[in-house]
Amino acid sequence: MKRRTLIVIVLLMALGLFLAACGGGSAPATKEAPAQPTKAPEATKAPEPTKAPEAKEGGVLRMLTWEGYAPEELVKKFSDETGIKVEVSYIGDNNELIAKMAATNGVGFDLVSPTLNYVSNSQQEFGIYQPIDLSKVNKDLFIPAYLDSILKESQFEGKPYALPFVWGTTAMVVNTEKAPDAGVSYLDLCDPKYEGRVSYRAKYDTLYMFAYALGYDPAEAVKDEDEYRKVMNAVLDKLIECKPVVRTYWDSRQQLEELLTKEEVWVASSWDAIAWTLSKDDPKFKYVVPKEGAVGWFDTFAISAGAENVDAAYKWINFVMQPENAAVIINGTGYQTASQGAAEKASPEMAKLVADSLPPEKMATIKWYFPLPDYAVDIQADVEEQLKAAQ
Amino acid sequence: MWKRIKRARGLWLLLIPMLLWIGLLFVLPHVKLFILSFQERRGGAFTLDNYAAFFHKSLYTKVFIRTALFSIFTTLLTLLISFPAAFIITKVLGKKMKALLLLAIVLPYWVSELIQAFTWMVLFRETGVISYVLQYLGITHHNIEFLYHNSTIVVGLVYTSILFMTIPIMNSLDTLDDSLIEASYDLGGDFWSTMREIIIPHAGPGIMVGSIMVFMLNLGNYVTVTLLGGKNSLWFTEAIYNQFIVRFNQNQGSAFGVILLTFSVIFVWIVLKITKQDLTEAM
Repeated sequence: MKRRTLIVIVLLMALGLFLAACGGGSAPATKEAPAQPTKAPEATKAPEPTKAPEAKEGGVLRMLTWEGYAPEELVKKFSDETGIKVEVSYIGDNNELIAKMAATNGVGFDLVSPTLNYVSNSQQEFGIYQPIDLSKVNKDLFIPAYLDSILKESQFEGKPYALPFVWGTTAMVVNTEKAPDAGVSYLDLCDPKYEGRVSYRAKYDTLYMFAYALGYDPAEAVKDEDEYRKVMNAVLDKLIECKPVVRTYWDSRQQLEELLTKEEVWVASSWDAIAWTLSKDDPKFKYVVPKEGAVGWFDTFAISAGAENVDAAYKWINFVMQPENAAVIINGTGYQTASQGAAEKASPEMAKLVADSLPPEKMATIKWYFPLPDYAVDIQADVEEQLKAAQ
Repeated sequence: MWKRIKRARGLWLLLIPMLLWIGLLFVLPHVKLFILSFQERRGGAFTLDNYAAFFHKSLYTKVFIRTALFSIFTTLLTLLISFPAAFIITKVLGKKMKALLLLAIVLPYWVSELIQAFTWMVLFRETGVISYVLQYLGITHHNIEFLYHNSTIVVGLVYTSILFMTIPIMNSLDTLDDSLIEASYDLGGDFWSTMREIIIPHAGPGIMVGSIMVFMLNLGNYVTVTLLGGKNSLWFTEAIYNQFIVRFNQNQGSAFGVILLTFSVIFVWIVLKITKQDLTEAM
């Protein structure tokens, strides 16, 4: 009898552990966004629709986007104005978005927010989007320079596939009390002076930073497989050499914030929004753009090839890009938008932080993420794995 | 005759949920994994490249060997810690203490592995509890970082698997008649010879079951290793995860999965042969 009870206990425990391990939810959630420039801005929640939609005269708009890009406040306002019900699902990284869209050829979603450098290549491989119909877009809402460049950069076979939405940069955050001189170059992340006080991600954004710091131009090199491998291997050598300086490679926003506020780390790579949030609480933390320039990403609007409610998608775009609405997103996430006049409507405190870190001359040096051919994805993953495996 | 068939039918009905569970959630996915691992990434033609890649890229073999060695080491360490505990709980303590200690071993498993790992981080980090206590006691005067070492991974893994070792051993020790131990002493045996000749052979099946379970759990661990290991933590499971999620290469990932599965099955089989244990008996 006793023997049997024990066996049952053990089996139940094993089953529980097994299910927890297989649940998948837990593992990716801790290792946030492994493949993606963008981030799940606030606490990463399980991706699930926020509301059960009821069919109404305006129909339903189904979005697949990042946490914080369709805040409840805006969804409600939009539904009240248009009668369209909104159903939002969240993604943790771009590959997840592409995988979900490719599985159904886009059926099931109307509007998605891929990062710019993933648009044209995934359109080429999977055909998951439809071209943007500019006649349905209120162009005056957009900052013209962003609109022009994103329409151009998202082209496939001569047609644009994306509109600009939210952007942000990755550079360095510095604890100015502990390391007042840091932040001149990305190579400061490798300075033995800060041994054990440095953190960055073992991901592509770090690879780009070091590539630029070592004098390469990865955006050019990526066009040729051999050339790109050469550049990335040089970066890998440098990063392995720098490994003793690093405390740990950070994976999630929460982890980086903890490392910095507990002063276990003084100098780190950081998304601008993380650094600005920290600055607001404690001005000793500063977001610094070194001489190589910040690395920038641009999240976009793209219309699904299988969209069932295209009109609603354009209505949402024209709605969310109005300055007072875009300001809600800026305040919620800490990222910037392509909406003309939104920054001024957002909090003045934030606007000042942005202006300090990214004055026009720094804006001009932003290195935008470039589209990645298949082989580049593999080369980067090779480097990331070898870096983590190096002892 | 009629009665027997009827009873058999009832038995089959009872088995259906179990068969569905195994068939849909275990057999089918593994068959799919197996097929995928022999297909080309584009086009899906038959190929052995996915397996060749494992042996050609020294990185993967290196990570794999590291994962395997770590798993074996932590399994042995877990056994070393669990066996005395199991022995004391079953043979030395009274009923009340026994229940209390059993509860103490089971209790930590009421929280998920993820939370356990985060708890370790709170204890181990440079500004964490242990570092603070050491300073308070005057043993050291500056913060000490315990996280992000190989030994941290070992601590985490041992902790998450101790239950699965202790319970099977307790289970087998429970059936050992105390009079056998007394007889051994009466016949002139000392503590070590009694241990070697009487107790360990009897507990053998329990040790085997526990070790197999712990070894498999360690080999397939993901959360504890990545959270506690930090910058040096590449585990084979993470390489599999990268293939599926980062590189979009399901086929390569499947091949890695099959390799991991095959290795663990063969390894367990070899250990069973060497120790002359029989799995049916052990279970």
